[in-house]
Amino acid sequence: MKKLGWLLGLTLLSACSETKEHKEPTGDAPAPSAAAPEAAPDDKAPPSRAKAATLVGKKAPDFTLADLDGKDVSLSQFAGKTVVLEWFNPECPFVKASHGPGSLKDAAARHAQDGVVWLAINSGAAGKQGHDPAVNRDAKTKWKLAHPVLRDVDGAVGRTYGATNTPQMVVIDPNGTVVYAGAIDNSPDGEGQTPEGGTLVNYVDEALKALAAGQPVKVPTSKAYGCSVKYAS
Amino acid sequence: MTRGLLWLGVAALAGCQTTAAPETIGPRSAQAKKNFVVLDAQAPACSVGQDCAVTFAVVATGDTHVNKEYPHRFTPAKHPAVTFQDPAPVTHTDEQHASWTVPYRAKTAAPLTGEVAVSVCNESSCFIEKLPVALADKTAPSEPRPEDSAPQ
Repeated sequence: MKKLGWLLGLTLLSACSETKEHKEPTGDAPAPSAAAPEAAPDDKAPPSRAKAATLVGKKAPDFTLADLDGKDVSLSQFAGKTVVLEWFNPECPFVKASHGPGSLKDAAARHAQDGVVWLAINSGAAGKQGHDPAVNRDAKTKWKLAHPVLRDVDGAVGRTYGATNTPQMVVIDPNGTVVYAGAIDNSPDGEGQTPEGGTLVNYVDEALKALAAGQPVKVPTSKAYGCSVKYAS
Repeated sequence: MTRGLLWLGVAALAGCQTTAAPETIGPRSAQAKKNFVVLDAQAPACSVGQDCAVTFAVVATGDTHVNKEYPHRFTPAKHPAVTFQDPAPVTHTDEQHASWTVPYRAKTAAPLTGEVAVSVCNESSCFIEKLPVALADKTAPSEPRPEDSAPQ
């Protein structure tokens, strides 16, 4: 009977400790993932939002633009090479984020090792955000960009390629065909912190990897995000 | 003796029920302001170990509007006692206002701190603002005690 009494007492105490302890999963608190961005356009409406995707599979239109030193650079001079075009505005916070912690950090230098040509194009009009050549030079230094920043002051090349946002990317294969047009990645914060679906996908990395392997690009288009291209109105 | 032990068990259980009452967290709130963004964070009172939530409300000020394409987010500071779940989708009530709720559970009345990232735009530019947030317990307005107003 004595034993029974002890047993009952201990059982009750044990039940008590279970109710006190909350069984929670252990480990670090995960950062919540953000909701998918809405489709509604924002900022100033760009001139040709859907055009970029229509270029995929077609010959990349040739162009000649001056770099920050006034030297002309033509797309056609890189025939036979894989070329990446990056629409650029060094004062756009999404470009800053992408070149800071985001997917564009060291991207050009990384792919240059594989012979990929990288051209940044600034289609901002005179007087608009990010147009000033000095600001572009500073950004080149800060982000250690060895590739040229081409000045598309009248926006003609940007409009031809349907560039609506900065950053916005185009990948051209060695045959001169556009194989990818769209965002740099699937994280519309520019920092790679809120990828849609939970996993960061760098679309340009993936396209270049596919090209190098002689395989088709799995995601040939995506919706660009970021600032609007500051075309002359 | 046996009866004594039984009483001990019952007494232990009674004491246990008192201490097992869930600890209350909050209510807590925080406000922050930076450039074109005003942020209000509200976490209603809830219990340790239970489903809790914190709601972030953003107001775009001046000539700006909330950037509907940006994944506005709260990145919590890591704390072993707090687990955050996926946030609810952002609600845009109008051009200037957006809000979202982040569910969480806490093992203790741990601090709720972190960083809110939002984006607003005007006609010419977009801005990404990052606001540090530390939710603090709301203190009820103090009621005047009878002796305070009593004539001396």
